[in-house]
Amino acid sequence: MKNVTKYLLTGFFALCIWGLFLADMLVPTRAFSELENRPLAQVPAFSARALFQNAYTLKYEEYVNDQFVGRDSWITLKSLGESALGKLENNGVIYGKQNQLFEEASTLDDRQLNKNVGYIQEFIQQYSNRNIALTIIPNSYAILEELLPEGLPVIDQKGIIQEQYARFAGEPVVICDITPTMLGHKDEYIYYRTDHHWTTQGAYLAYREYMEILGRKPVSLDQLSAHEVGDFYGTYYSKAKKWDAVPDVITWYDVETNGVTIDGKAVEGLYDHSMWEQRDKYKAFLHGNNGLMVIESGEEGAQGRILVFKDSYGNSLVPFLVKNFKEVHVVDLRYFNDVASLLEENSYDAIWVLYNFSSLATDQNLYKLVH
Amino acid sequence: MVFSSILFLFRFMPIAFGIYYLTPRRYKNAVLFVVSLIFYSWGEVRYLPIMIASTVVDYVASLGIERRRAKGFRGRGYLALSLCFNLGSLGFFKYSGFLAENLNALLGLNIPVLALTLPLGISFYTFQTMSYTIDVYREDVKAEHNFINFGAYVTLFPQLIAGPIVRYSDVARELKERTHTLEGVGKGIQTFIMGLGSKVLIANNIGSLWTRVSAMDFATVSTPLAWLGIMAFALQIYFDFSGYSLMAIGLGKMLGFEFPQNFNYPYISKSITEFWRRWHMTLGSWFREYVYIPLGGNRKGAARQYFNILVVWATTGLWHGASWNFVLWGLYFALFLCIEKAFLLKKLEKSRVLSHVYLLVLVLISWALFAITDFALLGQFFTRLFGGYAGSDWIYYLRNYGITFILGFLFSTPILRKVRDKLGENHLLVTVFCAVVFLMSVAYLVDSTYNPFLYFRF
Repeated sequence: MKNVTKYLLTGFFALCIWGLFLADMLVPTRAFSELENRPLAQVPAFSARALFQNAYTLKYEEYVNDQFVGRDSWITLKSLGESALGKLENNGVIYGKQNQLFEEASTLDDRQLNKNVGYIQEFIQQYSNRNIALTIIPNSYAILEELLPEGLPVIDQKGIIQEQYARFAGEPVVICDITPTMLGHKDEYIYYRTDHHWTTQGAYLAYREYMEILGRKPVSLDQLSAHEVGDFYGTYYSKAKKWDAVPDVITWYDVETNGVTIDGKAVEGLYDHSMWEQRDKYKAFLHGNNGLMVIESGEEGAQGRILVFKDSYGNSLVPFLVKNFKEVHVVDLRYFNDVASLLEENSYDAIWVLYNFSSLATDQNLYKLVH
Repeated sequence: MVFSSILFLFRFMPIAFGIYYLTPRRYKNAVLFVVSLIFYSWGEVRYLPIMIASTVVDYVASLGIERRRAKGFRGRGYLALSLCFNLGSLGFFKYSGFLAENLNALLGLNIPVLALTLPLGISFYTFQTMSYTIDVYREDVKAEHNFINFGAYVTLFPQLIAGPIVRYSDVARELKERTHTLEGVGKGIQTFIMGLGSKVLIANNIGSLWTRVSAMDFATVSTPLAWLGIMAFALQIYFDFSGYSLMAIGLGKMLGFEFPQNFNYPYISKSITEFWRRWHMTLGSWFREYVYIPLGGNRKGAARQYFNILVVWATTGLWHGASWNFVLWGLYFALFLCIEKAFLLKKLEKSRVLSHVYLLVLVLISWALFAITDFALLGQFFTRLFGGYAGSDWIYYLRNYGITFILGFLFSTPILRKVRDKLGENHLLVTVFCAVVFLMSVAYLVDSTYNPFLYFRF
């Protein structure tokens, strides 16, 4: 017995080193990681040039890491280790109470935020008679404060949003401040636990608020037929890979359309139903993020035309607008460049600039509103 | 390449060790030489010629010294060649930019500052090879005639990039005849795993706290958080550095070499004097052997001794990086070493609690000098450390890093070694513990978001 334990560690180590090395050689490479929701590095092409620029060795190392045998299990093991160490975060994602995940936000670089809000101001002044509304969608950490770990340093996002709204005092714009409403419903399922987006229920609250401002009658949720898709592990999960995360449920509603085009090409309906089966289920809404989407409503009583400038948060909200407006134009400035012609060629009953706070603080495309 | 990577563990190790063990004894050094060159130039091919040049120059210089000596000369010219080459390349790559910046600032000149990447481990291997030619010159060792053996010594991959600084005399015998036993390999594996765990599980985990604090606007940091931050840095640099040394020593054992110990639980010291006998021991003994004693050490009177201490510590500081804060860091230690030498040491050795508090506070302050290269920021950080600023920002970080801190404090003491010695080094519990540490380290390396290499400035 004594002799066995004497060489046990050596045997174990040798087995690990050579065994995993061989297994690593034999296991086929994967193109995509479902767990991390990202493409994995592949074998780099060798060239003397790449070698001397140190690009080859760097890429080779990435490839070895990404394709390491049992990668997903190792990641889960690390996540278990983090829990054992009592860590309250992993890879920039904070573990809140009741399985709620949050993004880390202890500091804010407000240069891009101030710039972007400046572009919106310019846009409003330029189109002062176009009935423009602005909404900044708060992040989950600003609304679900009680679920944050105690003592977590976090920026005062609600305060910053109010400061930004205050910059529009006296300007021809309707501020549709949804923060109080969101706070009033903070005990409901308005943000995903494992994803940075709001849920369809959260989006509905913003829609209702805006319709009331416009004097239109918001559709009531129980008049709609709902569908649920479970087992949704969102972007926070992909970063933190928390081993005991609780998956989310996505709700989507039937809305009639008479034709939908994306950048001029016809697509079927508001949802890409194939995405419900995929990892990144949120991409089903509006077929993901696209430049210009034009939706012809098939709903009875829908009238008028609205233009929405949005980030991905808007994707789960737009279906509600199709209930009220005969025509809904949806622009994602990341993929769309010609705002001036769009506004010249179309008359709109309402224009809604709808951005999440984090996008507004980081997006580099809002200048396209005015240039 | 660094030890703490999947690439090293599951590509380099199986291949290099596989070839090494299968090769007949007489060719083992050749294998070592070749795999070490691959290890070194992985990630920076352009520095391969520097490494080879360094090997050739010191090989030629030592043979030259021997030949001149046979003719009744001392071989000074060859020694100078070796010193000039080693100090010259170190000076060129590490200090030329620093020198140019200071001359520009001081004299209003406009010397262009070259943006050079420091060749990996240059501060370590230049010191190693210099020790060899100096020892040959002093007739402490015989010159190595076999180029392959010498090449294997210079490039020996375990100790090449982050120490310990292995002197030729430490391994001269093993280079020629060493034995490889399964038992030795087993011990090596245990040491290697402890080093890997120190680096990956403790240093990286606690280090991310200091990285965060140092990225904050110091004007908003509370006093408790400032102390937490600097304690995190102290644990990070200790476990990172001693972890690398342990990995090196372990790999050395697996190859049949005995490298000198480099860290001996420095944080349990009772004085700065003791701390430096326990911290980076091979660097300390290098400076003692090749700078302090040649300067006269303590044999030329008290005043000269204090001066010698000052010189040794200013250069030790500068060795850690080309920046004034490192010089200040070295001089800071020189000051306390002199004070202790003058009267304090005897009192410290008698005290049981206060001396530990004294040592830890002084060392933490030294790490602030070490970690913050910008003097304005350093000043700001010190006002936060000692200004008594209240705040609640530390609560979250204490909760998040609390257990890691406790593990760090615990493993800074010899507790693990004592348990192992009590159980016996092949006890099943020891084996299981090592296996778990190894598997967890691999898991953390696979999903690593923070795995810095701290010695790029060294």
